[in-house]
Amino acid sequence: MQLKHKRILDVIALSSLSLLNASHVSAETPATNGDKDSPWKIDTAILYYDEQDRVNAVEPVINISKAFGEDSIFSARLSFDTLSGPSHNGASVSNEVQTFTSPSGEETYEVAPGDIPLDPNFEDQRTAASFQLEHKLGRLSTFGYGAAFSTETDYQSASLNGSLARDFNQRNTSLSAGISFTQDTISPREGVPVALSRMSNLESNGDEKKTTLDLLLGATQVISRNTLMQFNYGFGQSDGYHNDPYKIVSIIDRSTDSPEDYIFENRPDSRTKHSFYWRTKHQLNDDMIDASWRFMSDDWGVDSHTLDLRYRWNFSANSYLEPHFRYYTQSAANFYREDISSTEVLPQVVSADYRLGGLEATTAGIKWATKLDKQHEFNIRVELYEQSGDTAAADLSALITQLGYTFYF
Amino acid sequence: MHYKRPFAITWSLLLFFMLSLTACSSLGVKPWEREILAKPDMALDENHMDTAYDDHIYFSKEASSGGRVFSGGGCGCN
Repeated sequence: MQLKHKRILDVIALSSLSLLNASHVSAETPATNGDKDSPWKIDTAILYYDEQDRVNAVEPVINISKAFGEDSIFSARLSFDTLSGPSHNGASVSNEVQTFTSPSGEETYEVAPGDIPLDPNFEDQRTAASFQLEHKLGRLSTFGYGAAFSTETDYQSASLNGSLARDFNQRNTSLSAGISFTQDTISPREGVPVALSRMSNLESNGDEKKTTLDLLLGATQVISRNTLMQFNYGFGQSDGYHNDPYKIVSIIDRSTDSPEDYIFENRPDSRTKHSFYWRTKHQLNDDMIDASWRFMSDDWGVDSHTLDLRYRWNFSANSYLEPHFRYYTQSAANFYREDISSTEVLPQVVSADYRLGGLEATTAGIKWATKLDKQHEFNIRVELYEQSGDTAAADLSALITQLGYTFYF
Repeated sequence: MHYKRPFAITWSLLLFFMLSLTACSSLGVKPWEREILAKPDMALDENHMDTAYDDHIYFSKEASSGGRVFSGGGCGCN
Protein backbone atom coordinates (compact mmCIF):
# COMPACT_ATOMS: atom_id res chain seq x y z
CA MET A 1 0.00 0.00 0.00
CA GLN A 2 1.29 3.22 1.17
CA LEU A 3 4.83 3.86 0.22
CA LYS A 4 6.08 6.82 -1.55
CA HIS A 5 7.56 6.72 -4.93
CA LYS A 6 10.50 8.50 -6.18
CA ARG A 7 11.35 9.11 -9.73
CA ILE A 8 15.07 8.75 -9.51
CA LEU A 9 16.03 10.37 -12.74
CA ASP A 10 19.59 11.42 -12.67
CA VAL A 11 19.40 12.89 -16.11
CA ILE A 12 20.73 16.31 -15.27
CA ALA A 13 23.47 15.00 -13.06
CA LEU A 14 24.46 12.57 -15.77
CA SER A 15 24.40 15.24 -18.47
CA SER A 16 26.52 17.70 -16.55
CA LEU A 17 28.89 14.98 -15.62
CA SER A 18 29.43 13.72 -19.10
CA LEU A 19 30.09 17.23 -20.30
CA LEU A 20 32.70 17.92 -17.72
CA ASN A 21 34.66 14.79 -18.02
CA ALA A 22 34.14 11.25 -19.06
CA SER A 23 30.93 9.72 -17.82
CA HIS A 24 30.79 7.51 -14.78
CA VAL A 25 30.48 4.51 -17.02
CA SER A 26 33.67 5.21 -18.88
CA ALA A 27 35.84 7.14 -16.44
CA GLU A 28 38.69 4.95 -15.34
CA THR A 29 36.75 1.84 -16.07
CA PRO A 30 38.59 -1.17 -17.38
CA ALA A 31 38.81 -1.12 -21.17
CA THR A 32 37.68 -4.03 -23.22
CA ASN A 33 39.96 -5.46 -25.86
CA GLY A 34 40.19 -3.02 -28.73
CA ASP A 35 36.52 -2.17 -28.31
CA LYS A 36 35.46 1.46 -28.37
CA ASP A 37 32.44 0.66 -26.20
CA SER A 38 32.91 0.63 -22.45
CA PRO A 39 32.22 -2.57 -20.54
CA TRP A 40 28.87 -2.92 -18.78
CA LYS A 41 28.94 -1.44 -15.32
CA ILE A 42 26.68 -3.22 -12.85
CA ASP A 43 25.88 -1.54 -9.55
CA THR A 44 24.03 -3.69 -7.06
CA ALA A 45 22.98 -2.70 -3.57
CA ILE A 46 20.62 -3.64 -0.80
CA LEU A 47 19.22 -1.22 1.74
CA TYR A 48 17.81 -2.07 5.13
CA TYR A 49 15.87 0.82 6.62
CA ASP A 50 14.77 0.27 10.21
CA GLU A 51 12.73 2.78 12.21
CA GLN A 52 12.64 2.24 15.95
CA ASP A 53 9.14 0.86 16.80
CA ARG A 54 7.79 1.75 13.35
CA VAL A 55 8.29 0.93 9.71
CA ASN A 56 11.12 -1.13 8.31
CA ALA A 57 11.99 -1.64 4.68
CA VAL A 58 14.26 -3.78 2.53
CA GLU A 59 15.14 -2.53 -0.93
CA PRO A 60 17.47 -4.30 -3.35
CA VAL A 61 18.48 -2.31 -6.44
CA ILE A 62 20.36 -3.13 -9.61
CA ASN A 63 21.63 -0.44 -11.96
CA ILE A 64 23.29 -1.23 -15.27
CA SER A 65 25.07 1.25 -17.51
CA LYS A 66 27.23 1.30 -20.59
CA ALA A 67 28.78 3.83 -22.94
CA PHE A 68 28.49 3.03 -26.65
CA GLY A 69 31.47 4.61 -28.35
CA GLU A 70 31.83 8.23 -27.36
CA ASP A 71 28.34 9.23 -28.41
CA SER A 72 25.80 7.37 -26.33
CA ILE A 73 25.24 6.27 -22.76
CA PHE A 74 22.57 3.87 -21.63
CA SER A 75 21.51 3.14 -18.07
CA ALA A 76 18.65 1.23 -16.49
CA ARG A 77 17.55 0.56 -12.95
CA LEU A 78 15.33 -2.00 -11.29
CA SER A 79 14.30 -1.97 -7.63
CA PHE A 80 11.99 -3.79 -5.23
CA ASP A 81 10.73 -2.52 -1.89
CA THR A 82 9.13 -4.42 0.90
CA LEU A 83 7.79 -2.38 3.80
CA SER A 84 5.95 -3.23 6.95
CA GLY A 85 5.43 -1.93 10.46
CA PRO A 86 3.29 0.56 12.35
CA SER A 87 2.77 4.00 10.78
CA HIS A 88 1.21 7.16 12.25
CA ASN A 89 -2.43 7.50 11.10
CA GLY A 90 -2.66 11.26 11.73
CA ALA A 91 -4.79 11.17 14.90
CA SER A 92 -3.55 13.05 17.96
CA VAL A 93 -2.49 11.45 21.24
CA SER A 94 -5.38 11.05 23.72
CA ASN A 95 -5.71 10.26 27.39
CA GLU A 96 -8.37 7.69 26.49
CA VAL A 97 -8.26 4.42 24.59
CA GLN A 98 -8.82 5.18 20.88
CA THR A 99 -10.39 2.74 18.44
CA PHE A 100 -9.79 3.12 14.71
CA THR A 101 -11.44 1.45 11.73
CA SER A 102 -9.68 0.85 8.43
CA PRO A 103 -11.30 2.34 5.31
CA SER A 104 -12.79 -1.07 4.47
CA GLY A 105 -14.43 -1.27 7.88
CA GLU A 106 -12.99 -4.77 8.18
CA GLU A 107 -10.05 -4.05 10.43
CA THR A 108 -10.08 -2.22 13.72
CA TYR A 109 -7.27 -1.51 16.12
CA GLU A 110 -6.93 0.14 19.48
CA VAL A 111 -4.37 2.62 20.74
CA ALA A 112 -3.64 2.90 24.46
CA PRO A 113 -3.98 6.24 26.33
CA GLY A 114 -0.92 8.43 25.86
CA ASP A 115 0.37 6.42 22.90
CA ILE A 116 0.97 7.83 19.44
CA PRO A 117 -1.80 6.48 17.17
CA LEU A 118 -0.02 4.05 14.85
CA ASP A 119 -1.76 1.91 12.26
CA PRO A 120 -0.23 -1.54 12.73
CA ASN A 121 -1.57 -2.84 9.39
CA PHE A 122 0.84 -0.97 7.17
CA GLU A 123 2.42 -3.15 4.52
CA ASP A 124 3.59 -2.52 1.00
CA GLN A 125 5.51 -3.98 -1.91
CA ARG A 126 6.74 -1.89 -4.76
CA THR A 127 8.52 -2.59 -8.01
CA ALA A 128 10.16 0.23 -9.95
CA ALA A 129 11.98 0.26 -13.28
CA SER A 130 13.52 3.05 -15.28
CA PHE A 131 15.91 3.66 -18.15
CA GLN A 132 17.86 6.62 -19.43
CA LEU A 133 19.60 7.28 -22.75
CA GLU A 134 21.95 10.05 -23.65
CA HIS A 135 23.27 10.99 -27.09
CA LYS A 136 25.83 13.51 -28.21
CA LEU A 137 24.57 16.16 -30.61
CA GLY A 138 27.65 17.49 -32.30
CA ARG A 139 30.76 18.21 -30.29
CA LEU A 140 29.33 20.22 -27.42
CA SER A 141 25.70 19.24 -26.90
CA THR A 142 23.94 16.26 -25.39
CA PHE A 143 20.36 15.10 -25.65
CA GLY A 144 18.92 12.80 -22.98
CA TYR A 145 15.62 11.07 -22.44
CA GLY A 146 14.16 8.34 -20.32
CA ALA A 147 11.14 6.78 -18.69
CA ALA A 148 10.25 5.37 -15.29
CA PHE A 149 7.48 3.13 -14.01
CA SER A 150 6.54 1.86 -10.62
CA THR A 151 3.73 -0.19 -9.22
CA GLU A 152 2.41 -0.98 -5.74
CA THR A 153 -0.76 -2.56 -4.46
CA ASP A 154 -2.50 0.82 -4.37
CA TYR A 155 -0.32 3.11 -6.45
CA GLN A 156 0.96 3.28 -10.01
CA SER A 157 3.29 5.85 -11.44
CA ALA A 158 4.68 6.49 -14.93
CA SER A 159 6.95 9.27 -16.09
CA LEU A 160 8.83 10.51 -19.15
CA ASN A 161 11.69 12.97 -19.25
CA GLY A 162 13.93 14.76 -21.73
CA SER A 163 16.87 17.10 -21.43
CA LEU A 164 19.36 19.13 -23.42
CA ALA A 165 22.80 20.20 -22.27
CA ARG A 166 25.57 22.23 -23.88
CA ASP A 167 29.14 23.12 -23.01
CA PHE A 168 30.51 26.63 -23.24
CA ASN A 169 33.64 28.52 -22.34
CA GLN A 170 36.22 25.85 -23.28
CA ARG A 171 34.00 23.28 -21.55
CA ASN A 172 34.31 25.11 -18.26
CA THR A 173 30.61 25.91 -18.19
CA SER A 174 27.75 23.62 -19.04
CA LEU A 175 24.10 24.58 -19.11
CA SER A 176 21.24 22.13 -19.15
CA ALA A 177 17.46 22.15 -19.28
CA GLY A 178 15.22 19.19 -18.51
CA ILE A 179 11.53 18.44 -18.42
CA SER A 180 9.69 15.56 -16.81
CA PHE A 181 6.05 14.56 -16.87
CA THR A 182 4.60 12.10 -14.35
CA GLN A 183 1.18 10.55 -13.98
CA ASP A 184 0.19 8.78 -10.77
CA THR A 185 -2.88 6.67 -10.06
CA ILE A 186 -4.00 6.08 -6.48
CA SER A 187 -6.20 3.05 -6.04
CA PRO A 188 -6.56 1.77 -2.45
CA ARG A 189 -8.15 -1.67 -2.18
CA GLU A 190 -11.20 -0.24 -0.41
CA GLY A 191 -11.44 2.82 -2.68
CA VAL A 192 -10.26 6.34 -1.93
CA PRO A 193 -12.03 7.67 1.17
CA VAL A 194 -14.09 10.80 0.49
CA ALA A 195 -12.08 13.76 1.77
CA LEU A 196 -13.37 15.18 5.06
CA SER A 197 -15.78 12.26 5.50
CA ARG A 198 -16.07 10.92 9.04
CA MET A 199 -14.49 7.65 10.04
CA SER A 200 -17.73 6.76 11.83
CA ASN A 201 -19.67 7.14 8.57
CA LEU A 202 -17.14 6.28 5.93
CA GLU A 203 -17.71 6.96 2.24
CA SER A 204 -15.28 6.03 -0.49
CA ASN A 205 -14.82 6.53 -4.21
CA GLY A 206 -12.87 4.80 -6.97
CA ASP A 207 -9.40 5.72 -8.19
CA GLU A 208 -7.81 9.15 -8.18
CA LYS A 209 -5.07 10.66 -10.34
CA LYS A 210 -2.29 13.18 -10.10
CA THR A 211 -0.13 14.72 -12.83
CA THR A 212 3.22 16.41 -12.22
CA LEU A 213 5.29 18.61 -14.49
CA ASP A 214 8.89 19.27 -13.51
CA LEU A 215 11.37 21.64 -15.10
CA LEU A 216 15.03 21.69 -14.13
CA LEU A 217 17.57 24.26 -15.30
CA GLY A 218 21.17 23.55 -14.41
CA ALA A 219 24.56 25.22 -14.66
CA THR A 220 27.85 23.53 -13.87
CA GLN A 221 30.99 25.61 -13.65
CA VAL A 222 34.62 24.60 -13.32
CA ILE A 223 36.07 27.03 -10.80
CA SER A 224 39.64 25.83 -10.68
CA ARG A 225 41.73 22.71 -11.26
CA ASN A 226 40.24 21.12 -8.15
CA THR A 227 36.86 22.80 -7.67
CA LEU A 228 33.58 22.67 -9.53
CA MET A 229 30.16 24.06 -8.76
CA GLN A 230 26.67 23.09 -9.75
CA PHE A 231 23.59 25.27 -9.55
CA ASN A 232 20.01 24.16 -10.33
CA TYR A 233 16.68 25.86 -10.40
CA GLY A 234 13.68 23.53 -10.31
CA PHE A 235 10.02 24.21 -10.89
CA GLY A 236 7.30 21.67 -10.15
CA GLN A 237 3.58 21.85 -10.75
CA SER A 238 1.28 19.02 -9.72
CA ASP A 239 -2.48 18.79 -10.13
CA GLY A 240 -5.01 16.29 -8.93
CA TYR A 241 -5.21 14.11 -5.85
CA HIS A 242 -2.57 15.03 -3.26
CA ASN A 243 -4.13 13.45 -0.17
CA ASP A 244 -2.72 10.53 1.70
CA PRO A 245 -5.80 8.27 1.64
CA TYR A 246 -4.83 6.66 4.95
CA LYS A 247 -4.40 9.79 7.04
CA ILE A 248 -7.07 11.10 9.39
CA VAL A 249 -7.51 14.17 11.63
CA SER A 250 -8.91 14.04 15.18
CA ILE A 251 -11.99 16.12 16.05
CA ILE A 252 -11.59 16.98 19.72
CA ASP A 253 -14.31 17.89 22.19
CA ARG A 254 -12.42 20.57 24.11
CA SER A 255 -14.72 20.34 27.15
CA THR A 256 -13.64 16.76 27.83
CA ASP A 257 -10.42 16.84 25.75
CA SER A 258 -11.44 13.57 24.14
CA PRO A 259 -11.78 12.66 20.46
CA GLU A 260 -15.36 12.93 19.20
CA ASP A 261 -14.64 11.50 15.75
CA TYR A 262 -12.03 11.48 12.99
CA ILE A 263 -12.18 12.81 9.45
CA PHE A 264 -10.13 11.85 6.42
CA GLU A 265 -7.67 14.58 5.51
CA ASN A 266 -7.99 16.92 2.53
CA ARG A 267 -5.04 18.67 0.91
CA PRO A 268 -5.21 21.27 -1.88
CA ASP A 269 -5.65 19.80 -5.38
CA SER A 270 -2.56 21.51 -6.75
CA ARG A 271 0.94 22.32 -5.61
CA THR A 272 3.60 24.60 -7.09
CA LYS A 273 7.20 24.17 -5.96
CA HIS A 274 10.38 26.13 -6.58
CA SER A 275 13.78 24.80 -5.66
CA PHE A 276 17.31 26.15 -5.70
CA TYR A 277 20.23 23.80 -5.38
CA TRP A 278 23.88 24.65 -5.05
CA ARG A 279 26.68 22.15 -4.79
CA THR A 280 30.47 22.28 -4.69
CA LYS A 281 32.98 19.51 -5.11
CA HIS A 282 36.49 20.28 -4.06
CA GLN A 283 39.56 18.08 -4.12
CA LEU A 284 41.79 18.59 -1.09
CA ASN A 285 45.13 16.84 -1.52
CA ASP A 286 43.96 13.25 -1.95
CA ASP A 287 40.59 13.76 -0.30
CA MET A 288 37.37 15.21 -1.62
CA ILE A 289 34.76 17.49 -0.11
CA ASP A 290 31.19 17.44 -1.44
CA ALA A 291 28.88 20.10 -0.02
CA SER A 292 25.39 21.08 -1.10
CA TRP A 293 22.53 23.27 0.02
CA ARG A 294 18.95 23.16 -1.22
CA PHE A 295 16.21 25.68 -0.62
CA MET A 296 12.67 24.74 -1.54
CA SER A 297 9.48 26.75 -1.29
CA ASP A 298 5.93 25.83 -2.28
CA ASP A 299 2.49 27.42 -2.31
CA TRP A 300 1.39 25.21 0.60
CA GLY A 301 3.60 27.30 2.87
CA VAL A 302 6.39 24.74 3.18
CA ASP A 303 9.86 26.29 3.03
CA SER A 304 12.77 23.96 3.57
CA HIS A 305 16.55 24.03 3.78
CA THR A 306 18.77 20.99 3.31
CA LEU A 307 22.49 20.94 3.97
CA ASP A 308 24.47 17.90 2.89
CA LEU A 309 28.18 17.32 3.57
CA ARG A 310 30.40 14.42 2.57
CA TYR A 311 34.11 14.08 3.09
CA ARG A 312 35.84 11.34 1.17
CA TRP A 313 39.01 10.29 2.92
CA ASN A 314 41.08 8.32 0.40
CA PHE A 315 43.26 6.69 3.00
CA SER A 316 44.77 4.23 0.55
CA ALA A 317 44.88 3.75 -3.21
CA ASN A 318 42.02 1.28 -3.11
CA SER A 319 39.89 2.27 -0.14
CA TYR A 320 38.15 5.26 1.31
CA LEU A 321 36.04 6.25 4.29
CA GLU A 322 33.33 8.82 3.77
CA PRO A 323 31.60 10.49 6.72
CA HIS A 324 28.24 12.00 5.77
CA PHE A 325 26.19 14.62 7.56
CA ARG A 326 22.80 16.00 6.52
CA TYR A 327 20.60 18.60 8.16
CA TYR A 328 17.02 19.34 7.11
CA THR A 329 14.47 21.83 8.37
CA GLN A 330 11.02 22.75 7.09
CA SER A 331 8.18 25.10 8.04
CA ALA A 332 4.63 23.78 8.35
CA ALA A 333 2.10 23.75 5.51
CA ASN A 334 -0.56 26.38 6.17
CA PHE A 335 -3.31 23.73 6.39
CA TYR A 336 -1.44 21.55 8.88
CA ARG A 337 -3.31 21.06 12.18
CA GLU A 338 -2.60 18.73 15.04
CA ASP A 339 -6.38 18.31 15.50
CA ILE A 340 -9.69 20.16 15.00
CA SER A 341 -12.09 21.42 17.66
CA SER A 342 -15.60 19.95 17.50
CA THR A 343 -17.15 23.42 17.75
CA GLU A 344 -15.27 25.05 14.88
CA VAL A 345 -16.38 25.24 11.24
CA LEU A 346 -14.78 22.33 9.43
CA PRO A 347 -11.79 23.60 7.39
CA GLN A 348 -11.88 22.84 3.66
CA VAL A 349 -8.24 21.80 3.57
CA VAL A 350 -6.64 20.14 6.56
CA SER A 351 -4.01 17.52 7.31
CA ALA A 352 -2.51 16.25 10.56
CA ASP A 353 0.28 14.39 8.75
CA TYR A 354 3.33 15.31 10.83
CA ARG A 355 5.40 15.41 7.65
CA LEU A 356 3.52 18.59 6.71
CA GLY A 357 4.19 20.17 10.10
CA GLY A 358 7.32 21.95 11.23
CA LEU A 359 10.11 19.41 11.05
CA GLU A 360 13.81 19.08 11.68
CA ALA A 361 15.99 16.11 10.80
CA THR A 362 19.62 15.08 10.95
CA THR A 363 21.48 12.22 9.35
CA ALA A 364 24.95 11.17 10.39
CA GLY A 365 26.81 8.19 9.05
CA ILE A 366 29.85 6.73 7.41
CA LYS A 367 30.64 4.75 4.29
CA TRP A 368 33.53 2.47 3.64
CA ALA A 369 34.40 1.39 0.11
CA THR A 370 37.19 -0.76 -1.22
CA LYS A 371 38.28 -1.90 -4.65
CA LEU A 372 38.86 -5.64 -4.59
CA ASP A 373 40.54 -5.39 -7.97
CA LYS A 374 40.11 -3.26 -11.09
CA GLN A 375 36.70 -4.70 -11.82
CA HIS A 376 35.10 -5.25 -8.43
CA GLU A 377 34.24 -2.82 -5.67
CA PHE A 378 32.47 -3.36 -2.36
CA ASN A 379 30.99 -0.74 -0.06
CA ILE A 380 28.97 -0.49 3.13
CA ARG A 381 27.16 2.53 4.55
CA VAL A 382 25.64 2.91 8.01
CA GLU A 383 23.67 6.01 8.97
CA LEU A 384 21.37 7.20 11.71
CA TYR A 385 18.40 9.36 10.71
CA GLU A 386 16.58 11.32 13.41
CA GLN A 387 13.48 13.48 13.08
CA SER A 388 11.61 15.76 15.46
CA GLY A 389 8.81 18.22 14.89
CA ASP A 390 5.62 19.90 16.06
CA THR A 391 4.16 16.77 17.69
CA ALA A 392 5.42 13.60 19.33
CA ALA A 393 4.40 11.66 16.19
CA ALA A 394 7.36 13.31 14.44
CA ASP A 395 9.90 11.85 16.85
CA LEU A 396 11.51 9.16 14.82
CA SER A 397 14.83 7.40 14.70
CA ALA A 398 15.92 5.13 11.88
CA LEU A 399 19.01 3.06 11.20
CA ILE A 400 20.00 2.89 7.54
CA THR A 401 22.31 0.10 6.44
CA GLN A 402 23.38 -0.29 2.83
CA LEU A 403 25.62 -2.85 1.18
CA GLY A 404 26.85 -2.28 -2.35
CA TYR A 405 28.79 -4.26 -4.90
CA THR A 406 29.92 -2.97 -8.29
CA PHE A 407 31.49 -4.93 -11.10
CA TYR A 408 32.23 -4.66 -14.82
CA PHE A 409 32.05 -7.11 -17.62
CA MET B 1 10.36 23.68 16.00
CA HIS B 2 8.83 25.47 13.11
CA TYR B 3 10.25 28.69 11.94
CA LYS B 4 10.70 30.55 8.74
CA ARG B 5 13.81 32.32 7.67
CA PRO B 6 13.24 35.77 6.25
CA PHE B 7 12.83 35.39 2.52
CA ALA B 8 15.23 38.30 1.94
CA ILE B 9 18.14 36.29 3.40
CA THR B 10 17.41 33.34 1.16
CA TRP B 11 17.15 35.51 -1.93
CA SER B 12 20.34 37.37 -1.04
CA LEU B 13 22.17 34.07 -0.81
CA LEU B 14 20.75 33.00 -4.16
CA LEU B 15 21.71 36.28 -5.74
CA PHE B 16 25.22 35.82 -4.41
CA PHE B 17 25.50 32.40 -6.04
CA MET B 18 24.00 33.66 -9.29
CA LEU B 19 26.47 36.54 -9.42
CA SER B 20 29.36 34.25 -8.64
CA LEU B 21 28.30 32.16 -11.63
CA THR B 22 27.88 35.05 -14.03
CA ALA B 23 31.43 36.13 -13.23
CA CYS B 24 32.54 32.75 -14.41
CA SER B 25 33.93 33.75 -17.79
CA SER B 26 37.22 34.36 -16.02
CA LEU B 27 36.95 31.09 -14.13
CA GLY B 28 37.86 27.67 -15.34
CA VAL B 29 40.89 25.77 -16.52
CA LYS B 30 42.75 24.95 -19.72
CA PRO B 31 42.11 21.55 -21.30
CA TRP B 32 45.45 20.23 -20.02
CA GLU B 33 44.58 21.21 -16.44
CA ARG B 34 41.75 18.71 -16.01
CA GLU B 35 43.63 15.89 -14.39
CA ILE B 36 41.89 16.27 -11.02
CA LEU B 37 38.50 17.16 -12.50
CA ALA B 38 38.58 13.99 -14.57
CA LYS B 39 38.94 11.74 -11.53
CA PRO B 40 35.91 9.56 -10.74
CA ASP B 41 35.83 11.20 -7.26
CA MET B 42 34.90 14.49 -8.88
CA ALA B 43 32.09 13.11 -11.05
CA LEU B 44 28.74 14.64 -10.11
CA ASP B 45 26.94 11.30 -9.95
CA GLU B 46 29.78 9.35 -8.39
CA ASN B 47 27.51 8.34 -5.48
CA HIS B 48 24.43 7.70 -7.60
CA MET B 49 23.33 4.56 -5.73
CA ASP B 50 23.55 6.35 -2.37
CA THR B 51 21.80 9.50 -3.55
CA ALA B 52 19.01 7.49 -5.19
CA TYR B 53 18.36 5.68 -1.90
CA ASP B 54 18.57 8.98 0.00
CA ASP B 55 16.09 10.65 -2.35
CA HIS B 56 13.72 7.73 -1.85
CA ILE B 57 13.94 7.80 1.95
CA TYR B 58 13.65 11.56 2.38
CA PHE B 59 10.88 11.85 -0.20
CA SER B 60 8.72 9.63 1.97
CA LYS B 61 9.66 11.24 5.31
CA GLU B 62 9.81 14.96 4.51
CA ALA B 63 7.69 17.49 2.59
CA SER B 64 10.40 18.41 0.06
CA SER B 65 11.92 16.50 -2.84
CA GLY B 66 13.95 17.13 -5.96
CA GLY B 67 16.29 20.05 -6.49
CA ARG B 68 19.31 17.98 -7.43
CA VAL B 69 17.23 15.97 -9.90
CA PHE B 70 13.54 15.97 -10.83
CA SER B 71 11.20 15.69 -7.88
CA GLY B 72 8.69 13.69 -9.90
CA GLY B 73 5.39 12.32 -8.69
CA GLY B 74 4.61 9.81 -6.00
CA CYS B 75 2.22 9.66 -3.10
CA GLY B 76 4.58 10.15 -0.16
CA CYS B 77 2.31 7.97 1.90
CA ASN B 78 3.09 6.13 5.14
